[in-house]
Amino acid sequence: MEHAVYHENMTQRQDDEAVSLARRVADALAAGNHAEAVRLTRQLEERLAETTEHKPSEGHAPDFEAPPTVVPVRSTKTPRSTRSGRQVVAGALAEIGVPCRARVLADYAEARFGQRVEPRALAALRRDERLAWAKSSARPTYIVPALEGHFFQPVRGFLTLSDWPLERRLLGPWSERADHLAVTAQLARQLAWLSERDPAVAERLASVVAGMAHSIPGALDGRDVDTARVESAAAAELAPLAVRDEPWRRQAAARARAQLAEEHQLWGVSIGVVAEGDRQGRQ
Amino acid sequence: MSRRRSRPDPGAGTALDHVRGRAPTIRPNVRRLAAFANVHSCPTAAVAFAARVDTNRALAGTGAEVPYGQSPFAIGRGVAFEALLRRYGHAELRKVLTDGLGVDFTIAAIENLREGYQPNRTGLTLRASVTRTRMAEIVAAPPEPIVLDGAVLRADIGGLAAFFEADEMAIGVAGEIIVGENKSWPVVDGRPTDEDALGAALDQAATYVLLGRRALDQAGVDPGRVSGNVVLITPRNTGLAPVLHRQNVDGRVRRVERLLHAVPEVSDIAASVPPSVTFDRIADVSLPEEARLEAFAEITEELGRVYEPASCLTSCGFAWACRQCVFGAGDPAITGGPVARALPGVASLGRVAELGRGAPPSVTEAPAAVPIARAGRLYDEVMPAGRPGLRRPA
Amino acid sequence: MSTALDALFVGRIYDSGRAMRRTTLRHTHLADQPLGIAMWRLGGERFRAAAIAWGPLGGPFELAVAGEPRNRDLYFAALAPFAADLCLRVRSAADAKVARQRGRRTELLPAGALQVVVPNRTTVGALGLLGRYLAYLSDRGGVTPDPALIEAGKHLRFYARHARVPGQALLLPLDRLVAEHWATLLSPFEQANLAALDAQIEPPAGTHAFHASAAAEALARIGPEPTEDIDRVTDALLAEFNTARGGSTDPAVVEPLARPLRDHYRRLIEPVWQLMDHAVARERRLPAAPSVQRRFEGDREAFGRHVDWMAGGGRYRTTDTPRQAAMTLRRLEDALARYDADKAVEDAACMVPYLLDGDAVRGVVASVNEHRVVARVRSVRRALMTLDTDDPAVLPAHKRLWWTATAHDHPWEVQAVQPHGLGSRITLMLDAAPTPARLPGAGDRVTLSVLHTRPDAYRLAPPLEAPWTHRPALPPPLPEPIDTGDAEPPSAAVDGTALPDPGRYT
Repeated sequence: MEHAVYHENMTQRQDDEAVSLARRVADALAAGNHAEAVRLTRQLEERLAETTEHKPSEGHAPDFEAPPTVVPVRSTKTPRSTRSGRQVVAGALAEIGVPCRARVLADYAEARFGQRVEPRALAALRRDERLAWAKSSARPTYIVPALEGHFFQPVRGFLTLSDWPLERRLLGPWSERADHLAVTAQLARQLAWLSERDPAVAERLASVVAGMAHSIPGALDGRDVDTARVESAAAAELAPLAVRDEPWRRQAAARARAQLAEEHQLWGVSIGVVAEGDRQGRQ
Repeated sequence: MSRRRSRPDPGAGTALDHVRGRAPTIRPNVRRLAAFANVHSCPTAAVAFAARVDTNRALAGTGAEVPYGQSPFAIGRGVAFEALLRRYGHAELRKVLTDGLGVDFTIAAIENLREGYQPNRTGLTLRASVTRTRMAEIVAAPPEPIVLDGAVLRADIGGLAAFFEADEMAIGVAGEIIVGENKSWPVVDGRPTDEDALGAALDQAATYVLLGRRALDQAGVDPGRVSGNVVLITPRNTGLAPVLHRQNVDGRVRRVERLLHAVPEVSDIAASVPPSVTFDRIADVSLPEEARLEAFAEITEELGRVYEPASCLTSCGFAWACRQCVFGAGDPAITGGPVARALPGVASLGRVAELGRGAPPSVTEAPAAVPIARAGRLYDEVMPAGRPGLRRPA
Repeated sequence: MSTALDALFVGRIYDSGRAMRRTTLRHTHLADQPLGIAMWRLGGERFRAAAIAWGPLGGPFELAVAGEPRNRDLYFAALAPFAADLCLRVRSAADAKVARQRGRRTELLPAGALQVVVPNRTTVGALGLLGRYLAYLSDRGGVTPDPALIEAGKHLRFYARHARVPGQALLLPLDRLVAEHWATLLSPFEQANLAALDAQIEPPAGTHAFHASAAAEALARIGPEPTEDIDRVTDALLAEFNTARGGSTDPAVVEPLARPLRDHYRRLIEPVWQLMDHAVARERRLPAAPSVQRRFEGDREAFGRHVDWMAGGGRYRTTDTPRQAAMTLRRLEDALARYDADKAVEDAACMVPYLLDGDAVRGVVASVNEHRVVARVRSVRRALMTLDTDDPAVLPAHKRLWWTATAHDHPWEVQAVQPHGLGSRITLMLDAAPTPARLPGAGDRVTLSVLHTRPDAYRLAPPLEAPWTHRPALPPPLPEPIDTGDAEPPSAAVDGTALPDPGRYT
């Protein structure tokens, strides 16, 4: 007997306006017009956000408005620790704004706050968060795992914040790449802002951004990080992916809200033992 | 970190579970299935495979344990290469597929079935369900490429159905499913640097092709949609920068199909085996080595054993223990097929030695014996008197 | 090919507990002091020799250990003495020349050639890859690599390619040499382990060959690919080494820190070195077959061409064109056929499989007579031999067989076959004028077979690779460097027990 839980129809009706905007972003980039590319990207983002049912919540990461700059890349220095591990992780996640792997989170936190988060600490953190939620000890947000899009099971490798809308906490076939591009652009903007206010942190952050931008064609030219260049290259590659990823996320979130209790919308579903024919529980 | 200890199966009720006993278990996957195909005709191997016995680890701690581990540097390279391909939303994988297949993978949908699923039967069932759906979608020829990483396919081997996980990827392009295999040994000047490893990788990919075709067939779809030209992604030259090669495996697919078709009906074997027969004892580390190896000899006697050095030594963790039994029995299979096949009617190697010295053969021994006696005569004529030897212990 | 002889071997070895000789002669040249090379790679790294040992066999070996072979500076510094020594030995071996007449031409070829001996065929491949890497190193960071490394790389590539030629003796994998001379209970797959072969040939007193080789398999470590247990130690030592040197590549800093790694590899190489020495000494005791010298002359010729080509700049394609590949394949096939024929004709033990197959006959010459026969127009003298064979022979009329003593010459043609006692009486006619050298004596025991060694029948003469001077004016494209990834940071080692499924990384 087939276990047919998954019904999702993967064919999407594409948003023609969005597709056209995405194409114009690519053209602007090819013409070397970074400012135009960034402007068109903002338009595209708004377009995609318009067609969502839920607006982004207050906790969403603010846009950093600042003129783009060029920041030299240098190696990080040893960090000083001041906040608790949990605070560091939550703070880093808030600024990153998309589902994030533990390692990237740790690298970012070290550069940004000067604090190292050990992988072991993150494993303990997951456990503690769940316990805290169960006891409903009031916290504004919890660190929760991202959810995969078929059965909404937790994906332990990716961390998110509970106050993000469900759309932002789901992982679909384009999501990982789209999120990476979005984060890279976001961190490039942040880097530009920080380079004026806190050059030491900016230096550390620059090497993180350089590592992330490495996989984006056209983002890096030489060793220094040109934040405008990184941002527009990321935006250009993101545009066609977002056109596919955003509608997927909307549909998956709608399904999840219809099917799942609130607890599972946060923590994911743990699917019980599946019986198949006459082989009970046998591998 | 200690090794995973075997656990008693709480739902044990079938003969195979009993046969496995406390021997260490494996999760079946395409790679192991491809290796098993090499030893498909051996009833002991077939039962061990069906019972999920980890033949590599069952004899751990004895002198018959075949070393199977790898250098941490080799494993580290493999881990790093895979991580490289997957990092940042599969950036490098998209790039190498775009360059190698001439299709834009920057906007490909990459389904990750490795993360988020439980490492048990439930997880396999769910992954298999998604795999089926996605493969059906691919075949409906969507305009954009799809990659399926961590697929699970169901297959019927020796009369028993099971789920097989794949290391390989399924790449959907223009309505076709292409199997993609990653390996971390390099390709130089367009040629792989390890022929043996290449052969094993292609056998694995061919096994996946076979399972994929069967799955499509069962769903009423043309199995030919799974391409016989598989993709191999390896590093190029030194370092880990990936490059893609296509290789045809149609011949290998046919071979694996033939072999798996000839696997003995495991349920019959298991049902006919007395309850005393179990792999439990051979894996019991509290027993002395001789007791464990004796238990192994008994179980292979009871189930039946087919030893072929070239296949067994590369594909089965019982090979050394089995070789020991073969030697003890004076079985001509010890050096491999051609010699064993040259000796129909001759019971043991001790007898071969006698016939080689001119002992009178029986009627059924004669066809094999006559050339051997002649060989003995011819050899003795040209070779100076033999060195004093040691008679084999009785 | 009949398996009766192999079956006989297996039965007798099982019974006696020791391996048996397949040959009465040695069919491969063995120099007085060949250069031994043994190596250990870093696991999974096909271009990184973590340790290379070299030196004349019978003496001590020199050892090159880079410490961290994935670091270019350390790696090249360690390989430099090996490369320099190899180049020196190649050049001095090619210095002395002898003259040879070929028809009306007089050629010069080296009097000797450097023979390299390695433990197994895998090492041949490993040296070939190392050669490919070294021969075309790029300038990284503006630093030109040591020219000795590049030259040594080209030598290694030449040797590894030449190793494909059947019967060659320039680069000798000992597992193949020993397996050629000895029958054992080991299958071809198992024969790749030199220690296992050796154990079957000389098992300890009271131990059967089977058990001796099983023990050797479990214990012996030969390389070049390291096992898990070896590299666990390497991993620990290398981590300490890298931490201690803190990124320095200064020899003064690095040398003392590398001592534990050197000791680790020295302990691994020592038993392999002894094994190689022992195997060569044992096989050397067999007298050499007559054609060994001729084959080695072919090796010397190829060696001389290679050295000349290096002097001329040293460029060739990395891969054959399809046409080249086809030609090369033909020559290799012919070389193999010639080698097999030489062995069987010169060594009675090697003729046994052909006798068993019916491709050869052995017996006593009953009579040799001259007759006059009409060949086309004229009447010519022809010899007729009657041979009484030990075993029944099945031969069609006009089948041509060569007497082993005149295998380079003309064949005898079967005229008639009749039963005779336990065997057959065969009448044969010599296909040429009956000179005394061509005729066996009555009462002689002779062997005739389908095998011949006529030089004109085998396409061997032209070189496997056209030397640079014979190429068209346009130079071939230079093979590209493959050291592109050298700047990448090395991957972290991962122990298999830390992973749920380490087998996926094979």
